[in-house]
Amino acid sequence: MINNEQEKKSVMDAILKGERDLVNTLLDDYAASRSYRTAMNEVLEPVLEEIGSRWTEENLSLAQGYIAGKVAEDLLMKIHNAEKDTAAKQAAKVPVVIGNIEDDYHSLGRKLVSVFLQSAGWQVYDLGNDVTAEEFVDKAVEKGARVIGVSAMMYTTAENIRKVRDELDRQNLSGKIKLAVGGAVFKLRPELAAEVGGDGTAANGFQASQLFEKLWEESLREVPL
Amino acid sequence: MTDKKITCLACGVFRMEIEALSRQDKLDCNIITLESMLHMKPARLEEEMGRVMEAGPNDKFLVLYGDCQPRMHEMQARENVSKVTGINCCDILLGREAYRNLQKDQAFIFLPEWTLRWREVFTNELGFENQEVAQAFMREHRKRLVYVDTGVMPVPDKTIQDISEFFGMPVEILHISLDILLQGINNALRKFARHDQNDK
Repeated sequence: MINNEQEKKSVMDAILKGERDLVNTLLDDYAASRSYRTAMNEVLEPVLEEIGSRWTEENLSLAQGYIAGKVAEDLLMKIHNAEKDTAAKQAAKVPVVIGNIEDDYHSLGRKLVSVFLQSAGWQVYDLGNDVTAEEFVDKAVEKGARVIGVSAMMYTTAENIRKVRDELDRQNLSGKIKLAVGGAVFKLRPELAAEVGGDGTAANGFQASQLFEKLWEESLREVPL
Repeated sequence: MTDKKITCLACGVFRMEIEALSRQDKLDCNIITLESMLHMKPARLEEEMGRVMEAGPNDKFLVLYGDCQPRMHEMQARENVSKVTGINCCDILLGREAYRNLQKDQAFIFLPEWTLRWREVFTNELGFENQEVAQAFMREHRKRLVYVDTGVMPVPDKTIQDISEFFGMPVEILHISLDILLQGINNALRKFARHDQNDK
């Protein structure tokens, strides 16, 4: 078992204080005798898991959530550069499509999900805000994605997710392409995920990768390659 | 158009605007406003709205809120409740098209009530005590800062200057009337008028 509790605590404290530069220094120091990927796996990922729990418990400010996302993004970039041309970099990444549903412009959660999915090794196609059902499905088909992640902050915009389910049904893709849904309203009323046609949701953005993995496996079981 | 049997349950962000409509005799009902910061705590907002409605089980409630808590939809479906159309306060004040255009332009919108307490909002509620982090956040997510002048108070020039300096971005001023808000209120009140007619 790795004993790096002090490093994790220091990184967590720095994130909570909004000290992005300090977090980067701490992670650089940890990576110096190991690697950036090790720093991600052994330090930042466990910290992000804790951050996710705090977010779910509403014990994390927007600024702290933002900083957590930015330091993950910083470290991802370093991993990307360090592993350029290596086997790890060249390994085929699994494509997924994400975006905020039509009429929804609350991008912070989606951006965090994008960073955490990338850090878990997914190839993320982020379509941005105000994305129509057709745009989601067409992009998933184009990129061979078996999971679409749709974000909505409010009930009214979450209702628009039904259109993505309808479009998947219309193109006979339900089963093959799974629909992950997330956003503030689903945290408060998780039953809404099924009501709008979602195949699953996660308690917070930090758990998105686990959800996507589960849905990807379900898709492969239902419609094998 | 309105009467005292109706209670306008509104977000505090609209307080100055509905008081202005009331002074102009365009809105004549009981007014209850809740703390606008509940926007950040939707579950608590749901509780608070429920508490107000439970206190007046026979009242009619004109709800001046966007889609700000998870069960607003069910709440507005009740016979004695009618909500103005709009997904949030900016949509309700600006109207659908203008609101959508500002969102597409990635504008952050400052309404008068939040503007007066902007430091409290950004530091205490959102945690942006560090100006550098606040600037990075705002620049990454928004291209424009827009203060919406609803005409209910003088444009707070000094405050707007402070906001601009804090975020390192210019603040545009958009002047609007209360016509769209009033139209939304009147549309919502028609639900009660229809019910009253059916009861006769």
